[in-house]
Amino acid sequence: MSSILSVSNLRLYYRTKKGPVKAVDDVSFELRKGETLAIVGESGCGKTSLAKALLRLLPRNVHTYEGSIVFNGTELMKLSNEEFRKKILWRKISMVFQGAQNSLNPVLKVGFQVAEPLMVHYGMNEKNAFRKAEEAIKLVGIDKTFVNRYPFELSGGMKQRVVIAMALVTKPEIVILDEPTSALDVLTQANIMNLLKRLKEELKLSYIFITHDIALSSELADRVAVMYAGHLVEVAYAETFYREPLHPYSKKLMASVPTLRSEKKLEYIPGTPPSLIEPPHGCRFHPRCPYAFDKCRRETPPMFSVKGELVRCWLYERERQ
Amino acid sequence: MKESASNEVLLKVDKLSKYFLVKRGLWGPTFTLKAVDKVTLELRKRESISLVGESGSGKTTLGRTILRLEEPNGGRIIFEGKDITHTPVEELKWYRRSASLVQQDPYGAMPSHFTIARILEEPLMVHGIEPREERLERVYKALEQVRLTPVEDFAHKYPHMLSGGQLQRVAIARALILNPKLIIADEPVSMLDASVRIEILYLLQELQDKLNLSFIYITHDLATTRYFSQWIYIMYAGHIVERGPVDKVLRNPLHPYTVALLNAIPDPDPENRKRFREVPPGEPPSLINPPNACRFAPRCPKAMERCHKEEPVEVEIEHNHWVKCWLYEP
Repeated sequence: MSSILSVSNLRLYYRTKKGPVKAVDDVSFELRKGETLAIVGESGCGKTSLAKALLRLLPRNVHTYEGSIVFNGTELMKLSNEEFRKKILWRKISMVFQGAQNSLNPVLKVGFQVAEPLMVHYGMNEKNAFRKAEEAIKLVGIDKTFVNRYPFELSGGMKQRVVIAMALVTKPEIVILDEPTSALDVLTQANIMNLLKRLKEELKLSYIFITHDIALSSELADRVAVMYAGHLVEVAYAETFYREPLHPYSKKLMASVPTLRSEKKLEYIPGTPPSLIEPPHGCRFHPRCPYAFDKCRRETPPMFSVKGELVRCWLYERERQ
Repeated sequence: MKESASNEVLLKVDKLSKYFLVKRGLWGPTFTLKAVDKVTLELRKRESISLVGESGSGKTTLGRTILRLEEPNGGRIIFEGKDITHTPVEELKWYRRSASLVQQDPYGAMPSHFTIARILEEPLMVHGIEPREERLERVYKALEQVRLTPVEDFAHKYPHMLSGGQLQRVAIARALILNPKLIIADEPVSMLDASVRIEILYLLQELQDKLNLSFIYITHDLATTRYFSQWIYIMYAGHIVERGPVDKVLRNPLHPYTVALLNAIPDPDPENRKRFREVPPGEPPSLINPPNACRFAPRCPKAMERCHKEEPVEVEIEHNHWVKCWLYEP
């Protein structure tokens, strides 16, 4: 599979009074065509910042924004804001934002809200845009007459489908899904996951699926990237990751996931995630890591390649190939 | 899962109902919203019930009605042998001490301008615990019980200075401070990260053993129930559709809704991405003037004609394992 998006050494720091917040720090990964890469981690680890850095949706207090993002051979970091907005944003890469189902405009028909990006980005007239919106709404499994309804007439699950239609109406190649089922019920969540699986096949999409829910991530992920305190600490194939993660943080995280179908004792990770303003020296996980040794406290580990997986941990220094 | 710890019943709820009146428009007609409909529940000392349901299923209202924070419209609540269903609020102070609540959102549950010590002192003041030294002693003890140490440091902080997990510990400390026998924990960990979630659930379990507490753990997360309770009650649209020992219900679910829930929840497994899940379509019904029928029938893959016409009766299939479904009519 060829790579559709290749990210190297991406950094996004925010300026605050206490110093720069290193929300995304030296992040590198590849997304292959037709693949789902899940990005998992606890709240505050920088998952959403990473998504925003990819889409250049930056707040005003940016301190550092650097690195390389190559989409289909084009270096996106070299594009001007104008070019990026016109050529990439929504057209090539779009996003389903967390909790977006509650941010629909209550006084506009949902059809208009789905059609809006077409009018804004493609200069389409309202009639054509509405027709496309109808198609998108049908695609996500709602009757097309719903274009004339208002958000309050829809259930939570249907609103989430509308939000997905909004992300698809511009026919993107990559969709970033940021907690696309948060605040939805279990059955609705499973329905949305089925929908996302179907859309991926039908439209040949590539997904970046951001979630804190490890069990849920396995519903879509071909590969998994684990984020901790602004760093990616592991990038691995689903087959290995869900059975035997490599990084001590991934192992601990997996041990904290309750399961319905297997007997295991639940564990938790003592301590709290570090401050992103002054992250610990060396490996950022070392204060909570049961395997930490001297070197972990002194030096930040690079990403080691171990049997095709990437892991940012000194334990794997000797095993790398 | 722990084995049942005693036979002494702490709380008995019999056909409890809570209806709300809703008005459509300013002069429109009034409807009855049946949030909790004829719920029966029994909780023994030192045991825990997981009350599982989706949002809008009435699980929070059931918890609040048991605590008499809502006036019941029918049925009975018996706590330690005393019928408190209609006891006037002025005579309920002892019950307020005996049964307490941990709310879902710890951020919203704390007054932001109070210190942690003041937040924990409040219930003691309301219940006339004097002098102040004794109150503070109990505040420090509660903080120690939830392991917010050193207690002096935490006592003088304000809610915004704490993390979500720490704040939830304060909420638990507040629920403990009057030495209750029953704690109703309404989604106590749903806003927390996986690891913190487990840490808090272990803390609750430890407190239960140490202080001989009984718990009603309200949650939408089926996967945690079997680790932290002996009994499970599955709620759908105001009805308890299935109840029993947690292991029995999870291993051998009987009600089509329970089956659907179990089918919908993934375990971490790389095979998941290759298959679609069998999930009933649609959404839970409106609780306004619901028909006297099975409320899951419109979504149920096994629904028969009768299911749309008559409300099923509860049937005991195995010892203590009950289901409210026409498929199991004896």
